[in-house]
Amino acid sequence: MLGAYLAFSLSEQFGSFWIALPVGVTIAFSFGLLMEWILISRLYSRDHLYQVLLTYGLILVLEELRSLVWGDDVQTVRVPDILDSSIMLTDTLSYPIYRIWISVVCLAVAVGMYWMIQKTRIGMIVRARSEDRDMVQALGLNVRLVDRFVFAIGVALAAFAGMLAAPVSSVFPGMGNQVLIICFVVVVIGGIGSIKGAMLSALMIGLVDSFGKVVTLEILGLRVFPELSGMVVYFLMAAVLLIRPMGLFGRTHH
Amino acid sequence: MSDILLSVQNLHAYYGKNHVLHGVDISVNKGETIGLMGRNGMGKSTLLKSIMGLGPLRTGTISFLGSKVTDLPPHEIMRNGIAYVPEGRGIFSTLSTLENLLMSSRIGCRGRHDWTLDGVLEIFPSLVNRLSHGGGQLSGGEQQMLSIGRALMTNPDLLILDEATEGLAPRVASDIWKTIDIVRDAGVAVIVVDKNLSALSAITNKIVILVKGELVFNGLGEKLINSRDLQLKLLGI
Repeated sequence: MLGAYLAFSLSEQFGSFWIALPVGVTIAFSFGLLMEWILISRLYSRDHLYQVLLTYGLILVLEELRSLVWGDDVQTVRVPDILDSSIMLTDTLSYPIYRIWISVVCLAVAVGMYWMIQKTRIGMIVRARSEDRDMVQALGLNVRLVDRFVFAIGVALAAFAGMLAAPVSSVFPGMGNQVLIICFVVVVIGGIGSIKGAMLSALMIGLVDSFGKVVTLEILGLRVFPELSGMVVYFLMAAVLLIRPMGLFGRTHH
Repeated sequence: MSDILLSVQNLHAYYGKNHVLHGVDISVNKGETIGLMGRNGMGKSTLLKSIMGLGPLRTGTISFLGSKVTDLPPHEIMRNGIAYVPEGRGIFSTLSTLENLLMSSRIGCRGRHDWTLDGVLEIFPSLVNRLSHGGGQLSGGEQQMLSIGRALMTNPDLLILDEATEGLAPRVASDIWKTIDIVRDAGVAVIVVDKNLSALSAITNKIVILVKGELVFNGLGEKLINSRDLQLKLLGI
């Protein structure tokens, strides 16, 4: 949500989506550092539930701030000129270049993240930290710094995603909430802590959601009941959790 | 310059209302090897964790090479040149053996760089074939070697080993003792916790014993070995 609104304001401000993108990501990153420092870092010694409550509170606060700063109108962000065209797949079916570009960028980010977490020393430290915080400290590494940067990178990535999505989805109040719930479902199905799992489950949910809509409408002819199609994803989650409570690629904690 | 590497003065530690350490004084000279003994629950691990700032609330003074480190965050205390091999080894099971070694690697704070990956693998040849295995797949002995190797990769001046050979087969344990010998010969000071009095006294300069959070013995291992009374009284063996 923040990302999309940043994309909206910054591209108005600079007149260019391409300048808005890095500036927005930098702002989000700094915001993440600040939030971690002021709020999140105080809760590591407590149960995860406190973090969930705190971040949920932040959602509410940010949503109100958004209303004060940007108002409640629906806004649009223009697709950058260079990507503002479509390719014809068949005579009657065209596909916007911008969407193809988003897919490519997202794949690149995913590969980049995978590489960073699996292959670099920073990634090793991040993985080690998620396993045993004290031991990482005992090896003379500054875990507080690791925590802060991991959180800020998370915020920056979320904002980046929001900015990319802004031109295709339009920018409106509460837009983050739909994404948030789907993100939870993705993480739960994939298994908490597994990037591979998240990738796979995101693809799966995308397909199930899209096909679910088409199939339920056509086979059952449920025009009266289109809400049912939105439930398919949650049926999938329930099914996965029944069979593998830790998610597809999740580790069991002893 | 004095020879004192680590000095702990009047250390008290508390778990909530539980007063666990009662004014412990201990000092380690450069290159010195010290055996720390005591029955279970006497405060050995708490003492080690308190030194590193990882434990409970504590009061007292901890100095490293003459400078006070008591109030530093744990990673900065360790960066002065302390490395830790915890009870239970603390291996990162989701990282490979190689990653466990690489993640901690750094040049020591006084420019010491005796321990490289090759150097560590030289003293632990059995890890060479296990580099790509997950840390969780190693045997207990291999994990202990990895944990010591990982600690050495930080090029420390002081190595702290909690329960060095607990749960290891005698032959593996004797490999660990040999390794501690090598580390000592390289000029690294060592604090070792273990229950094997004769092995400890063979490789250490002195032995200290904790009973109920107080230091009750500080002297040569032979003195203990020769006195059944002391052993029974202080160690219950």
